[in-house]
Order: sequence, then structure tokens, then C-alpha cells
Amino acid sequence: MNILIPDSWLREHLQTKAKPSDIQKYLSLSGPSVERIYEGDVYDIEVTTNRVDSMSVRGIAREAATILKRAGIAAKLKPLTLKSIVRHPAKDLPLPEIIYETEAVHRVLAVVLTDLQPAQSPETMQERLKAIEVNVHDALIDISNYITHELGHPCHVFDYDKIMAKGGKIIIKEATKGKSFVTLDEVEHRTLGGEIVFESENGEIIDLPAIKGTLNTGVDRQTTSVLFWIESLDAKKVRQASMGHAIRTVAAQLNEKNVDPHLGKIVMEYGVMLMEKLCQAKIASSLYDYFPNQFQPQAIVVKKQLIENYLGIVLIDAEITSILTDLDCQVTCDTTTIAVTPPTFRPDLQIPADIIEELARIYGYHQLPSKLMSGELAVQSDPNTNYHFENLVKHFLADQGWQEIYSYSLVSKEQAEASGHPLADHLGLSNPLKEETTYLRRSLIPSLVEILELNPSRKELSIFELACVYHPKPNDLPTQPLTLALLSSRPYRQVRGDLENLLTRLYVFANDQELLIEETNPGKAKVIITADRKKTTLGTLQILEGGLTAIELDWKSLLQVSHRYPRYQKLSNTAAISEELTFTVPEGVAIGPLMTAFKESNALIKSVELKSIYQANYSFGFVFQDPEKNISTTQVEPIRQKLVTIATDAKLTLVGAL
Amino acid sequence: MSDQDHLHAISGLITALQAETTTDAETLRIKYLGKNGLFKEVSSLIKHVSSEGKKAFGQELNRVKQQLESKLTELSNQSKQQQSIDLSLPGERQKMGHIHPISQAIEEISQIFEKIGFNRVRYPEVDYDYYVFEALNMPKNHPARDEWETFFVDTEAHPKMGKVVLTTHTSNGQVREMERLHSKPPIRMINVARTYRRQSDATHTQMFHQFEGLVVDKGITIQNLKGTLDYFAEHFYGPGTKSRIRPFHFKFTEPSFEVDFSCHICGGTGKNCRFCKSGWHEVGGAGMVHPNVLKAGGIDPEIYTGFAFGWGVERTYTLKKGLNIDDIRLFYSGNLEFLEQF
Repeated sequence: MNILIPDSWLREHLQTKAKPSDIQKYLSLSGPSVERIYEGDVYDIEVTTNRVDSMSVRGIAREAATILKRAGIAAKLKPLTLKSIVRHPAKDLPLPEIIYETEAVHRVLAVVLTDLQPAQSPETMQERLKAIEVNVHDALIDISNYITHELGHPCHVFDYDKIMAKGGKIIIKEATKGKSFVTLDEVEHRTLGGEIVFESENGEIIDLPAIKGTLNTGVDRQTTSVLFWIESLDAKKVRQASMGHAIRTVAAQLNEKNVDPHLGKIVMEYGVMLMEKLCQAKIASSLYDYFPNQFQPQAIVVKKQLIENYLGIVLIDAEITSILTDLDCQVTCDTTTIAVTPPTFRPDLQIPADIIEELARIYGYHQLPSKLMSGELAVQSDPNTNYHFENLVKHFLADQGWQEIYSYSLVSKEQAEASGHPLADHLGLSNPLKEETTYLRRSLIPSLVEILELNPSRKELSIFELACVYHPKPNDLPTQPLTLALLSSRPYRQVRGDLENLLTRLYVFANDQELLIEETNPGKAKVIITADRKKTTLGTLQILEGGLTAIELDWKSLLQVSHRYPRYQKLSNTAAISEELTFTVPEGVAIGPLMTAFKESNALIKSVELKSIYQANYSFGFVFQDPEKNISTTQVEPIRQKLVTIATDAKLTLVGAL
Repeated sequence: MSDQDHLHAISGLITALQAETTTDAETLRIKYLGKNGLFKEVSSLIKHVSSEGKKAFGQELNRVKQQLESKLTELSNQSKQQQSIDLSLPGERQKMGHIHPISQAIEEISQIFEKIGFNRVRYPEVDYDYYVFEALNMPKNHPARDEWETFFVDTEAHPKMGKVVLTTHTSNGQVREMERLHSKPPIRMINVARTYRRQSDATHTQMFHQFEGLVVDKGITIQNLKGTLDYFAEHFYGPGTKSRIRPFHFKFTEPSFEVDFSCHICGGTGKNCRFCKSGWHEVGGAGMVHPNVLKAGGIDPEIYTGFAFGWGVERTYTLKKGLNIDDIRLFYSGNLEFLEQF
């Protein structure tokens, strides 16, 4: 939460000669971060959610006083003493009857003021409110905004006469569901049930406490008497109501963070003083103060060794005591421990690590040395993947001309349906930000197709992505396998060639494994790696509309068949014979199985390769080799004859003669 | 010398010419076939050849002369050809692909941390509320959760682990890593993964990447965190880059820090620099692991301490000097004009 504070306002609470730039520098290093200083020396300060005590001018002044002092710049928090609230002898109005039907109330302060005169706030107050981006109204409203910002506890003014006209009772209770009420900004709401509300004796809601006032009891131009009110409620209840109603006022944002109820009284005194001064108000009742079960902070015992464990240095008792006392803590030290009782406004200090944080930040993180850790290394690597292979595959594909893509894991309904899985078998978000990012994808291909379509000027484009897909699993997290997807508008043979090259690079073939593209439907196939009789399915290959080739491989399966090195084959000492045979291939004959049949027809055939295709003529290259002795043309002759027979049986015609 | 030696002397000329390193044909012509050239020198040996060997010597002379001439012509042609290549012609390039900049950043980041003993891991992107929040000392309905704009998966909650969410940070890997290592430090983890938040503008995308460092062992101090940050800054942004930590608040670390790196554009001075805040860039959060988080991972906080940090890959990468990317949505646009620049 960011807070704006004009320098002049800060110095009403902070006595120092530090320049604004010093205040920015040292506060940022050891306390709340001063992100910017705007024109007119207005600090823009980020206060973390646990430090509600710093969300005010005085809170920042208190931090600054401690931090500047450590930096060697004289600084002091000015004392704040205000006169007690005493009823005007000539005025006497009864307080409303306050009835508690819930235990979620930590404190209530209230006083009646009367004879209020309409007035504008003084110029300084108006300028400061404008500087902190708060609208200026009349003095009465401005006072409550001003003191909230200055001291950090929200407050409220009711129109006293309206409260009394409704029976003079304020019943504090948990709301039943569905009751209507209208807030000060004239917006109608209905209770959610369970949030704290104020009701009149006839059950009308007259306030959404700690969050926002209601119109039926708010002040207006006719108001002459007010009930000046401060409540401290259970922070969780405040948050529940604020989030539930989506009313995120400054009051709600402070009250949901456990503002110190002890702060209420001084805020009330300050408000009364300003109302007397600016609106000529007269105190017409005694101060009502309901403060059950006052919270008493407990001492936190910290082992000195633990401080050293965190900081890596030894802090002497005097230094520890000095830092913590400056932070309003009570400290006692013995030989091995320190006992620290934090002030009531620091509910964030609960465990030893919290105290160590205070010591370290005020001592100065920048004062601590910087050094790498020594010691034993952790060696158990990730069993789910191999990052070396991930990088290798990415680099290899890029070197082959493939562009890597990162696309969103969340997809539209249309893309989900295009995955081949029914929409109902997808996981969706219950709170998507956009329609096009609603479903967790089960395939990377539709995302890649979209990217190809987004780049129509690129002819023959090849793209790939390595990312997770998400398959629902009953009563469990979805399975989230890492998947490698390739999509290309280049001709199928070239894409397959790249796949074969990739598998070569991963030493798949050099470890006695082969690639099998097993067609399951026209244009759709399984990508399989075979080794002996074992088959490992890597994923799918399909030809999409427009002749796009899409390959999707399961990463873990690809890893299973990949190797870091080949299985070394003895170098051959014998000569090989290379020959080509050309056949005319009729339509409908699959070349893959035919080549397998060629290869398997004789052990002396070392390799079979499709060399070229010209119209219906396919030229195959054969290498014949005997590992034991040099092969002769006489030996090749029957093998060649067998090859022609296999081809002829498959309805191919030899071009030329043997 | 015998007649055989004389014949060898002739054929030696060819060998000598082939061994020449100069390609200037004219120089070689003068050297071999010129008035006082090597051929003339060898021809003059005829007077020492026996009368019966003179015929063979003459024939060999002719043969070698022809070979020399033909070789010199070949060299001359080669030289002419070489001279005719227009070196100003543009190159013919093979189609080249590109690794996505995020992959490049992740690879660089991982390598830097691996050098100082960190183990790279990856944990689920769709995970239980327990690992994303609850085990990290963030009970249900805690205001600290507001800072994480969480996407919820529309599926049944687990009775113990809670709702299924898209990971808002890589910190879900903290307790998971402790569990994987059976709660036995030392732990030095670098977890890089996709993360998701319900937000979208020029500096925020619904999906982005984070890297999370976690170190747990005996005697791990704030000084070690500072050392690690300085090491990373120097290696990722270049020598002289400094880091600093400032107080911050996260529920899962205590103390918690905001981490800044010194601006390499203005040299950390902040003077007239529109890229940084007073000489520093804010990169993300860090802190000493909260005792409750160690306990959730089965580790005794009385014995062990640790630190953790988690920053956006995109944010960290775009702070590199001279990169000038002002809209991180481009990373996920699939725009080739953008991607082919990397």
C-alpha cells in the first residue's frame, strides 16, 4: 500500500534537519521504501501490509526518527499531547445506547458534539489533502480524512439527530443475509450474512462499520450535532465484508490490518480539537470508551545464537538494546537470550525471526558483508527431465531453421476443441481474465497453428515449442507432461527429415533404434521408436489443413530413447558397393514398408535410401557390404534380383533392365 | 650421375612446381621456363647423358615441358578466375532459426546458478493451494494473498490440499523441494517455471516466468544471500553491477527483502536516468526462509536456516543494458519480426 506524505506535514511530527533526499535514502534502506519524491516534496512511500502502524504521517515519522538516528543524522519524534475530552458545561446530550451482540468488537470510542457551524477547512489542510489526492469537502468531512491520514486510525461522524430519530440505539451484530442498505455514495448493497453491521432498534442497517457509512445516518448540510465515532473490530471480519461487498475504502484497508486499538483515543482527541476549532463544535457528552480484553503484547524470547545464525555477525547487548528500545520495545538481556516486549502498535512482531528482522534492518542490511556460502552441495538432480537435452534440442532445432515459440498455456474454447479432446475433458478456469484464455490446453498444436496464421508473410515457416500440457485426472492434480511440438508449412519430407536429424543428434539411431511412423488414419500417425521388439510411442504426427505437418512428442518418452553418445560400431575394413535402382511406383503404394522390406531382405544390405523422386519414378540407393570380407559384384547380383522381385510384387516396375 | 638420376631430375621439376605456394603464374613461368629457368638448367644436363640414353632423356624433357606448360596455364586460369569473383556479392544464407529470448534468459540464469552449486528443478504449474499459499505461511483468506492475483481451476478441491490453482509464483517449489529431498538439507534449488497472475498490461502478462532460488543448510546467513545476489548481478548484467536488499514483507520469509540491482545505464548514479529509480532497478523479492515454511517441509528451524528469492525472468532479462524491450507482451505474441531479432 502506497502512502503520500508532504514533507512539511512529516516535519510536524519529526524533528530533524535531514534533507528530503536523505529521508528518502535512509528510509528506503532500513524501513518503508520511498519510491519517489514529487514536486512540492511529497514523498510516495510503499508501506508493506504487515506495517499498518506506518500507514500514517506519524507512523512514518516514528520510523524515520529511529532510522535517521542510526545513519548519524539527528532526528526525534515530536511528542503528541492533546487535551482530554471534557463535556461543555452548558451542553448535555445523551449518548445513544450501544448494544453488543457480537464479540468481534475490540474497542468503541464515541462522543457527541453539537452546535457545529458549516465551515471550510483552512488552506493548509486543503492543500495537504489535495497533495495526498483526497477530495476536499467541508471541514467536518475533511477532518476525519485528515486525522486518519495523519495518525493512522479511521474514524466516522454520524449525524447525531438521525441516530436518535431512529430510536437512539446502535446494535452491533453480525448481519443476516439479504438486508438492503445504501452507502454514503448512494449505492445500494445487500448484506452477505456474517459481516458486522450496526442496526437501529427496528432492524434498519445504519452503518457498515470500519468500511463505509450509510446514507441514512451520514452527515449533510443540515447537520448540527454529530456522534464522533471510532471502532476497532475483528480484522478478519472487516476484510470478509470489504472483499465480499467489493468496497475497498482507505478505512477498510487499514481496519483489516489490525490497527492498534490503543491509537483510538488520541485520534478522537485530535478530531474533537479540530471540530471545536474549525466548526465551533461543543462537546455535549462524556467520552464513551468500551475497551474489553485489552491486548497485552507478550515477551518474545530470542536466543542470541539465532541472531548470529541469521546475520553472520555478533551484535553486542548494548547495540541490541539500543535498536529495540528505539523501536519502543522493552528489552531485557541475559547471557544467552533476550526478551523483547513489543509495543501494542507492532502486532507484526510475534516470533524470534521478527525481532531479528528489526535488528538487522535498523543495523543496516547494507552494513552486512556479502559472501557466497561454503559447505556441502546438494546433488540430487531433477528426475523429471534433463535440462542438458532441453537446451540441446532447442539449439539443434534452431540451427536447422526452426523458430522457438512461447505461447500461452491458456487457450480459447475453439483452440481447446481443436486439440482433438472434447471440451468437457479440459480443465477450465473459474475466474478467467479473458475468453481466449480460459482452458488449460491439452495440445500445443492449435497454439502453434494460430502463430503460423499470425505470420502469413512467412513462407515455409517452421516453429516449435517445449511446454507442458494439462490432462485432467480424477481427485488429483492434472498430469502436466512436458511436450515438444513442431509445426511446419514446409513439405512433409523435409519436416520428417528434420525430425530424423534430431533423432540422429540424440543418438537414437546410433543405439540400434529405428523410427516408425505408423499411420493410424489417413494423414495421422503415431511416432514410434523401435528397438528389437520393444516399441516406444513418442507421440503423434499429422498432416493438417493446408499441408501443415504437426508433430507432438512426449518429452519424457523422447528422453527415454535419447542418448548422450552413440553405441560405437567397429570401423569397416571391407569395401562396400553402392548402387541405385529406379522403379515406377503406382499410386497408393506406401514407400516406407517397401524400404523396410528391401532392408530386411538380406543381411548384406547396409543401408537403403530414397535418393530422388521424379514424377512416378523413385530412385533408391543401396549400399551392400560384408563386414568380414570384400563383397563382389557376383555376390550382389542375387540380392539385387531379390530387391526387384520385392518391388515387382508390390506392383512397382523397374526402370530399365538389370 | 646415372641416366636414371638425370631423368629423375626432370620429373622432379613437376613435383617442385606442385609444391610451390605462390599462385602468381607469371613468376612461376619465369622461374621454371624462363631464359635462365630451372627447365633450361635441367635440359643442359643432356650433355652428361650417355648417347644411348639421350633419346629417352629428350622424350622425357618434352613430356615434362608439356606438363609444366599445362600446369602453368591451369594456375594462370585459376588466378584469372579468382580475380573475377565479385566479393561484394551478398552471402547466400541457410535458413536459420532462433531460440526464444526467454529460453536464452533461462539458460543463462540457470548456468550462472549451477556454477555455484544450485540444482535446477521444475515443479507443477497447476498446483494445490497448499503448496502455493498455505505451506508458505499464508493461511486461507489472509490479506497477503491479495497481492497474488490468483487464477482458480474449476475443479473439486482436495480435502487436505485445498483448491487447484495456477501457480502465482515459483515458491510452490520450496516445500516440494524439501519434501523431495526428504527434509534433509543441504538444499540449493533453482526452480524455473511458468507462473500465472490475473493481470495484463505492458509490464504484466497473464503468464510469465519466474526463477526461484532456495538454499537451506546449517549456518546460512543474510550475508550468503547478499553474496549470491552480487554473484548473479555481476555475471548476468556485467562486472561492476551491485545488488542491495531493502526491507519488505512476505509471509513466507522473515526477514523479507526487496532486491535491487544497480543501474548499468547510469552507472548507479541515477542522474538524469529515465530507466531506474535513483540508480537502482527493483527486480523482485527475497528473504530468509520463514521458520513455519521450514517446518512445513519437515526441517527443524532451530538447526537450519535458509534464504529464498523469486524473480520474473522477463523483468530480469529486460533490464539488460541496451535491450530496450518496453512491452513484455511481445514475448508471447508469436510475432516473427520480434522473435527473429534474438
